[in-house]
Amino acid sequence: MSKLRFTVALWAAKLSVVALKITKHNGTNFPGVVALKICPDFLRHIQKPRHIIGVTGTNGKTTVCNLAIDMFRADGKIVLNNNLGSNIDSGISTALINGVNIWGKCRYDSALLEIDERSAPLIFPYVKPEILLINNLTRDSIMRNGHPQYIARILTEEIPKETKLLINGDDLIASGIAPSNSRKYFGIESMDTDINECINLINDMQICPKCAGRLRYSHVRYHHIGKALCPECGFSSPECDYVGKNVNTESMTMEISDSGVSCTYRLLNDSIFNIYNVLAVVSLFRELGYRREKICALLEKVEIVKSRFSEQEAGGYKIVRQMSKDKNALGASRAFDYVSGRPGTKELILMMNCLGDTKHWSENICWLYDADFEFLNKEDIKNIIVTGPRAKDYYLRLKLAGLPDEKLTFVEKELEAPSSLRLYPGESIYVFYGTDSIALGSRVVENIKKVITERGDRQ
Amino acid sequence: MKKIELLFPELCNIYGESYNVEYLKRSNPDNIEVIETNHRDIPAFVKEGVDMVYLGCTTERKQEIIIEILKPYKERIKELIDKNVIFLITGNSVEIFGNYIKDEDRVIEALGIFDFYSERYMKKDRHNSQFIGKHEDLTLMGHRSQFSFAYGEFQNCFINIEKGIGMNKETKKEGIHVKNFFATYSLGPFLILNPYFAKQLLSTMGLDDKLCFEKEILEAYEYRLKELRRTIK
Repeated sequence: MSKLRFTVALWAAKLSVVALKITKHNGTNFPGVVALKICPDFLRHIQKPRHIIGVTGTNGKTTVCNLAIDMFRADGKIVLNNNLGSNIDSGISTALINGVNIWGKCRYDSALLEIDERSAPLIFPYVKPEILLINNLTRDSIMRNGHPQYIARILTEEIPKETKLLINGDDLIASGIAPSNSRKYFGIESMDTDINECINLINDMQICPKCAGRLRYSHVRYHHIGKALCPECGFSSPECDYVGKNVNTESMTMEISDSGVSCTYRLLNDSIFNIYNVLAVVSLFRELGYRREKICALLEKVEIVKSRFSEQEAGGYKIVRQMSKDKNALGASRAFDYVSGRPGTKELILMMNCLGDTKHWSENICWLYDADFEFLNKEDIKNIIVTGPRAKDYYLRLKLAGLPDEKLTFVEKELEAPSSLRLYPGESIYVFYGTDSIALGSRVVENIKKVITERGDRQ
Repeated sequence: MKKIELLFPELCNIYGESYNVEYLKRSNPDNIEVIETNHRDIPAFVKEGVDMVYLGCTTERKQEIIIEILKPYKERIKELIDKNVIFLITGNSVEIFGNYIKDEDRVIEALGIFDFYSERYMKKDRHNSQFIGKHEDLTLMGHRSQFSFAYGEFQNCFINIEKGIGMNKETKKEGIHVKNFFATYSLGPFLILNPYFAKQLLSTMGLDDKLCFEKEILEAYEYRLKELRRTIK
C-alpha cells in the first residue's frame, strides 16, 4: 500500500513539475508539497543519491551551498541540490523528485542539500548525509526557532549516528551538537579585529555547558563566536582540524592549514560571515579528498550569489543591496557591523520588515533590542531612512542607539524612501532588506537610480 | 537613588529583555542605580534593600538553574513582595514562581510562591501569539513565543486579555499581579512595548515618570496598537 501511495505521489509530483515548467513557475516547493500531501513518508521511499552532503546551521547555509555547487560545477561535476527551492522537507522532497525519473530511479550519484535546522525531525529520519556541515548556531527568529540551545537539542536528537560532522569549532553551541558522532572542526586562529570581551547585545554562550561556571573567552570574534575556557572545570573550545589564519582583507586571502600543511586561499568577500563561509567550503572540499591546489583553482571561478549582497554604480554613487534576514537580530548586527566599517560616506535605507507578519498581527519587535543598532552610530553614516511598517520602531531604536534626529528620516512607504536621500557626493547607499522584501528591495533600488538621474538632470 | 536589580542578565536575556532595565535607567539616569547580579553571586535583594527586581526570559535548562539559585531565598522574596518592592518578571521566568514545571515525565519543583503549575510541550510546535489586554486603565500589548503554558486559578492576574490568550489557551487571565509583583508571559522588552506601564513603574518608585524619547516611544506604541487592533483575530 505504501509503495502504491509513493508511486502515486511521485507521478503527481512529476506532473506538477511539468505544469510548473509550462507556467514558468520553476523553483517552488510545490512538487514536494504535493508528494508529501499524498505520501507523508515520501522522503523514506524516494531513491536518493549514494552520497549526500548536508549543510545546516543558522547563518550562511545558502551561501556555503551555492559556493560548493558552483565549485562542483567548475570541476565538471553536477550534484543534485535544492538551491532553487527551500530547505525544509518539501524543498528537499522537490530536489529529490527532480533527481529521479518517472520510475523513481535516481539519476545522480551525489547531492548537496541545504537543510533547515528546525526541520531536522522531518528530514533526518529519511535523509542521512555522509557529511553534515554545521556553519554556526545562533539566535534566529524567536517565533520559529526559539533559542539556539533548543535547536542544538533538536539536531542532537535527530542527526543520524553514522553522519560525520564538520562543525565550526569557534562556535561553542554548534560544537556541542551530537557529541557521539564523529567530527572534524574548522575555525580561525586569530584575527586583527578580535577582542577579549563580547560587545554585542547577544551572547548566548556565557556559561559552561558542563558545570554552569562563567566562561572566560581568550578572544571573541562576534557574539559567542571565539575561543572560551571554563576556569571552574577546564571545559574549553575544541582544537580545530582546519585552521584559518593570516586573514588579509586587503589582499583578500586567508591561509588554511590542515594536517600540518598550509595553503593560501582567495576570500570572496571581506565580511566575517563570508570569511567563515570560505573556510567552511574549503574544509568540506578537503574532507571530500580535493587537493589544496585544486580547491584554490576552483575558488577562483566562483562568486557569492548577488541576491544576498550586490553592489552597483549609478551616477557616481554606489548602491549596495544588503540582505538582513527579518527578525534575525544576529544577522542584522553582523550586517550593521560590516557596513559601518566600510570606508566612505553612507546613507542607509532600513526596510527589513517582516511583511508577512503585518497581515495578521504586529511584527514582534523583540529582535530590535537584541540587534546592535549602536554600530550604525558612526560619523560617516550621514542619514538613515527608516521605512515600512516598523519605521517608528526603528526610529526609536536608533535614537536609543545614540543617533541624533538630524541623521534620521522617517518615510512611511518603502518606495518613497529614495526621495529622502541626501546624495552626498561619491557616497554609498545601502538598502537593508529582508527575506520578505527581496522584490520590494529591488524596486527601491530602481527608485534610487531614478532619484539619482532626476537630481543629476536638474543640476 | 532608586536601586533596580537586574537578575542574571547572562542567563535571562534571550529576546532583548535586559533593555527593560536599560530603558528605565535611561529615562531617569540621575536617580536610578542598576545592580547587575551574576548567577554565581548572591542577589543584592538578599543583602540590601532594592526598589525593583527584574528577571527576564530564559532557556529551559537555565530556568532550572535559576530555580535552584533562588530556592534558598524564597522567604526573602515573599517578604519583599509583602513590603511592596517592585518585581517585574517576563517570559517563562513567571513559571519559576509557581509550584512546579512538568516536562514530560519530569516534575521540576519551582519556588511555590504562587499557586499554579506549568507544563512544557517541547515536542510540539512553539506557540506564538500576541495579545491586547487591560491592566487597570492601561492598554497593554504582549508578544508570546513559548513552549509551555501555566495552569491555575490566576485570581490575581496582571492583564485581562481582550484579544489573544492568557496563561493558557483556555483563559483570558494573563500573568500575576500581587501588590507590586508583576509577572507576564510576554517576552522581550515589555516596557518598550508598553511605555505607559513603564511610566507607572517609575511613578511607583516615586520618580518622575517622564520617559526617555517619550514622543517617539508613544508614537511607536500607538502605531503598533492600531496595527494590532486591525489585524489580530
